[in-house]
Amino acid sequence: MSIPEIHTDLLWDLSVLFGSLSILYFGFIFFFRNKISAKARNIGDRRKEITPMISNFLFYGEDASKEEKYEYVGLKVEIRELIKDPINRSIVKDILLDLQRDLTGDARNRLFALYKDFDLHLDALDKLKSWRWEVVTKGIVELTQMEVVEAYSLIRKFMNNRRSVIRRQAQIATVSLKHEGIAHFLDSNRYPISEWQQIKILEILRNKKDFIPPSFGLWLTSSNKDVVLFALRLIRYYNQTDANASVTELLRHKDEEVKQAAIDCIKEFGITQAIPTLIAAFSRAKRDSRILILDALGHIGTEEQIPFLQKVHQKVSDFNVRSKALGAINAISPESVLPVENLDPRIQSGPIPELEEEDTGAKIDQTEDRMDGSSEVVEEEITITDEGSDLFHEDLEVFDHCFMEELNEILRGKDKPEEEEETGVLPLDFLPIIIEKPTDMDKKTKKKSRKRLRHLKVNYEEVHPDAEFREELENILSRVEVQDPDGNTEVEFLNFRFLPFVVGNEPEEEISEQADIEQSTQQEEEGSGIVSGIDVGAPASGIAPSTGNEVNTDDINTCALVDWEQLQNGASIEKVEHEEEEMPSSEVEVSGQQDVFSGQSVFEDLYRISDEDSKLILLDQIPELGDHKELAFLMHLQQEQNSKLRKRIFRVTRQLRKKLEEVTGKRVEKEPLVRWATGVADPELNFDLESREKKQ
Amino acid sequence: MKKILLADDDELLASLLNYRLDKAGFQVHWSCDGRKVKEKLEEDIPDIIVSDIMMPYFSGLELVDYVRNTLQSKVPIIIISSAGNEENVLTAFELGANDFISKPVSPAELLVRVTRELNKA
Repeated sequence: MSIPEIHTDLLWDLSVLFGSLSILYFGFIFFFRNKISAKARNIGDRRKEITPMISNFLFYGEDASKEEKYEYVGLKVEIRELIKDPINRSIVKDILLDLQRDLTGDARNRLFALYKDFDLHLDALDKLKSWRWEVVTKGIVELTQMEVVEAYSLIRKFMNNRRSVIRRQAQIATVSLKHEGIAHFLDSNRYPISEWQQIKILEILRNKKDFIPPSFGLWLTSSNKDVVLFALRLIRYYNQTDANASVTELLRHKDEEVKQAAIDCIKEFGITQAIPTLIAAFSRAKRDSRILILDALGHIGTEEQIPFLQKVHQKVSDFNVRSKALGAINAISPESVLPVENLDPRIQSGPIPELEEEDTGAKIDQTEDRMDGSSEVVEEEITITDEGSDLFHEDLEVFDHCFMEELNEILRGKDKPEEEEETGVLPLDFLPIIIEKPTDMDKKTKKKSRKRLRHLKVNYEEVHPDAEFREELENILSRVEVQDPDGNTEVEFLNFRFLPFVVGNEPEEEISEQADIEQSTQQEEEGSGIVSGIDVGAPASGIAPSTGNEVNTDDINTCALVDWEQLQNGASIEKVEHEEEEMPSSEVEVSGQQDVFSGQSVFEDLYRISDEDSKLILLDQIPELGDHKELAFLMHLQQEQNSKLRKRIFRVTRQLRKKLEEVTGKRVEKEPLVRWATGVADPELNFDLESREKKQ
Repeated sequence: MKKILLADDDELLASLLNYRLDKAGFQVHWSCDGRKVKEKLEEDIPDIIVSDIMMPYFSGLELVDYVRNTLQSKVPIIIISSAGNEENVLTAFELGANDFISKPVSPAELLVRVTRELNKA
């Protein structure tokens, strides 16, 4: 390897070449920089020279002395000579254009006169002939700024130019230069008029001296939608009420924007003749237009329009339109519609209740409790309202509300005669009779009864509970108000866990049913006293919490048939049709609440030692990680007194139940009391326990 | 002859106003930025100050504050402000300006205001 030989002369030549090029380059930069600077300096100097001349011209007065007049004439001649040079001409033109921005009054008028006097406008007119859009635009701007009215006819030719910059500038120039320019613009414009352009033109018209606006209603018939919109804007700006009929007709315009502008105009001018058309246009209008129509009716309408507004409120499904209809009614007739949504029915105006001094603190606490409870009910109602989309949801709400009140009354035992009422004791006659200890029933009788029970044909009724309704009912049942012997009302959190689980029967769930029958049979053999037929239909998840008590089977069998009329009448329960003779009382042992947690939830211990925030976090985790144990745990927690936690518990329970349903493919049932309340008899669900046993 | 200090960075307008005021018989000293105005004020206090609000280095508001608080002078001050610059005008009045005129300026109107302020003083 050897280094390639380069001739030294070549290196020298290259060095000279690049050196020369760099010198040339810097020479050019230096030359042009100096040239530009010199030109700028020259222009500055000339400007300084010309400005006093122009000032002299501007402030030359008619009452000037002879000397001044001579001076003025001399200056004029001097400037005319100066502007023969294009640079000087350009300088004079720039000075005049700059000054017209800063000057007003008489000085400005003299400035315009000077511009024309020096024939500088001819240069601008020449620019209009250019094929370059920027030159044409510059010419139009110059002529507009210097108010060269003679250029009007030339400029308006550009008003529908396909190049938007020229077109917009020409439109502004046309409106600026002559009063009739706006009419010509509205007549001949074929292009859309942007919002900015409309504002700009409006500003020009506003600043125009002695401008008498034409009747803009003439342009409401234009086929150009933007012209109609701009005309409506101008009508509103100049308060022109001579085109009310035309404005009203625009309510039938196909374009929503025009329609809305017309509605605004009608509302602003209070055109009462337009009310029938407004009402007629309502049905075919879109949502925003409907709201505007209702708003306009609220402003200009009379009580004659209230039936229409009420009809709108009743029949239209859109929430905003309905609200606006109510607003319009109240605008026409103030306070005619009062708020009805989400009100606490317990708060009634009337005489002030007397409070005993010593019990004041306690009563306040009770009131707070009751208020908490009531707010919960209201929240449930909100949920129903949100989900209900049909027109009759309000009726359903009223029904639900009445139903709840009725239920509360039943539970308070208000319907009973006073002598029968025992303070502090709930009338729970309809519930199954629970016996503390197993009776000394004869084994023979027991066996016989079991045998009969196996041949029992249950006419089962399935319930189709509405989830929200069920929750609401649960809330109420878990906070029944009772009276203590002193007559003080207090909210008692009742535990209904001792009640048996009577669960909806799903024939297709053979496995579950079989498992339950097996379980009951096993328990029977152990002598626990559980009647095999009772839990037949219960799914695996529906293991009933119990207190270790025994329940009369008659009562249990008839649970599903309880209706509210019977509850009201104090009747305990309706019996199920039996194929055989009436059953003797047999006992059912219902597993206790503690048994529910025999396979304890992992969340339970953590939950008990946690604060509120931690509890909320734990609850959030349950739907993801939990199973039936957690479901039972959640059921237990539904008595939680903290309303925030309780709501979260209900929500989590729903989520977990849904998840379990998805996993197991079957419905996870709720507690029986709830289904009694919401139950609908299903005659198809007849059970023949005997046939089931045979299957087993 | 009354002395007027004209402070405006717009040379063209300033020269025009200078010409007009000079023609009206005032002795006008024109400065194109706030620093020169300050220097001039340290040398001599004029009979009236006409100042634009927007100036390089030393704004019209600062000038009013300087004259009223630092120099403790009660010389009349007329502020020239752009149209729609209401906030600055109000601040100028709070600081002690006597009058204001908005752009575009009518030289005749300015002359009237200057004469009136001098008469008041």
